[in-house]
Amino acid sequence: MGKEYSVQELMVVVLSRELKDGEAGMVGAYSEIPQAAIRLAQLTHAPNLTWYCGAAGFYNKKGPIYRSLGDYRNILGAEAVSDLNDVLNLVMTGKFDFFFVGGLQIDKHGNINLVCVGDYKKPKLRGPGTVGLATTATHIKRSYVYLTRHDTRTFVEKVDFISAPGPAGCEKAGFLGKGPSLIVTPLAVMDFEPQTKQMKLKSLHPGVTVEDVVKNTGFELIIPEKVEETKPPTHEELQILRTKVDPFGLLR
Amino acid sequence: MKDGSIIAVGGYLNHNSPMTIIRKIIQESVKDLFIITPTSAGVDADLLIGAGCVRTIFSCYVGAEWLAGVLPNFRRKVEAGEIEVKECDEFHIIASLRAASENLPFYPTRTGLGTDLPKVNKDFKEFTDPVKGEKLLAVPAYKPDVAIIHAQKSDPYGNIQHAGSRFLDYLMAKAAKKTIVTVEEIIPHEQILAEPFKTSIPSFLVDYVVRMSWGAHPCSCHGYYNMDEEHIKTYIEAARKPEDFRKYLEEYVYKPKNHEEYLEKIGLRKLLSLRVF
Repeated sequence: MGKEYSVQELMVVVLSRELKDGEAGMVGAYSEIPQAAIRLAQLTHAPNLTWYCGAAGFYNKKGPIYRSLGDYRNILGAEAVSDLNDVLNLVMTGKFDFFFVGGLQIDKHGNINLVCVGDYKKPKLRGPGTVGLATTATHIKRSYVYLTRHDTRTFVEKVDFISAPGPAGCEKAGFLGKGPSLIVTPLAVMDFEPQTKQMKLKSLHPGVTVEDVVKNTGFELIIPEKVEETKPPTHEELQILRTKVDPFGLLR
Repeated sequence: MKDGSIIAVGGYLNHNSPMTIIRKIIQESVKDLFIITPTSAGVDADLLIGAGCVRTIFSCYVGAEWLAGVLPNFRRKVEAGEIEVKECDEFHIIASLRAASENLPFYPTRTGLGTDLPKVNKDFKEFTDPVKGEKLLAVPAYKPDVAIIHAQKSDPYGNIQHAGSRFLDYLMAKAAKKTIVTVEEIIPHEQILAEPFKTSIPSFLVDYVVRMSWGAHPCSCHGYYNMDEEHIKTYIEAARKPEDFRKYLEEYVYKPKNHEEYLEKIGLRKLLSLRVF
């Protein structure tokens, strides 16, 4: 990886470019990468993007990112503050376009697990819990998955617990939400093959090979004939990110 | 609060948690609690679990974000099968509290369909909606016996003002049979009258108010002080091993005779440093 930017900064830039002007987004707790992606998009190509933070309930905050989205400092410079009961009510209006999702495990169908590794009754590892993923998967049009690890413990053949269904599961259940549309990791970007709704490699981060990704993925990833390189952050993107979005350097 | 009570805990993650009441529950050795967390919980729930006060937890997350993906006592006791988790999504907690606040038996939702949550939480029942025939999930009302909340201000009558996010505090106060609020400050009744639009919980929902400055420590209290990250790191380290955790409990929960002694133990310099925004 180049020295000019960190892998988190690259993930932020990749996600930011996906977000469209005029859309409305939702972010959960502990989400430095998503909130930075939204702020960067607002300050570059999407000035009319609006967003809510589920945790502390603030709307369109302008200031720098903090580690905890429950942090009071986020509220300063926001346009509104809602309580959590109201935020979930807002989610269920179906008026949000996108959400961001993390996870303990993800499988080739894009099912996500935040509950446990191993059998539910006798887990090898107990995870933190589903948070709001079952709600956002159902009620928000699409989601972006960001994972700070890309390894065979995270990318598994079949998740041990479904906290939120992937694209096929969402379609089968008839949800408004279509499930994850993109997965961004420290190695690569993945999306889904439209017919089979199985995960497919989309682009490799600079310096990463197909073999690196295959070796660290615990299921058979669809590899297209031509795989692009993830476009690194531009000078402008990096400068805005570091001076306006993340002046405290949480992503470096 | 009695053994086996259903307790709704206010705040969110490691923010605005009613930590003085949490420590008091442990000192009083209350057992077998059913705790409802404010969707995501932090050291509040983990401390109660580690001290052996909890039988059942209705929660969608017990962690400390970047400091700990999952908190140690919760993880250990769930892996050992020593506590029961009512596995859920954050909306299920809100749905249950909404039903409890309206004295309804359950609240309908789509949340949870297509997931494994209803498979492991048998309290959630799938049913067909009698109006349109859609498949939905019924989330039962768990009526809290007591809601414990930490807020910023109250007048002598229990009219509460929040000075930041309100999280689920108001909904919990509506749902619970009794509500106890600790506050940073008691303000004159006239101040409430001058700005009634700032009242976040009206007094008739509040049974007890206790002035507890720094009452959320080591969690943050919006507008007053930030989270004590250093202390929470110390807590997490201690909670990883039962013997270290016992020492933590002794030092920070059992030994201080009152809240002032606890604050003295934390130290004036540390407390003042948390006031920096």
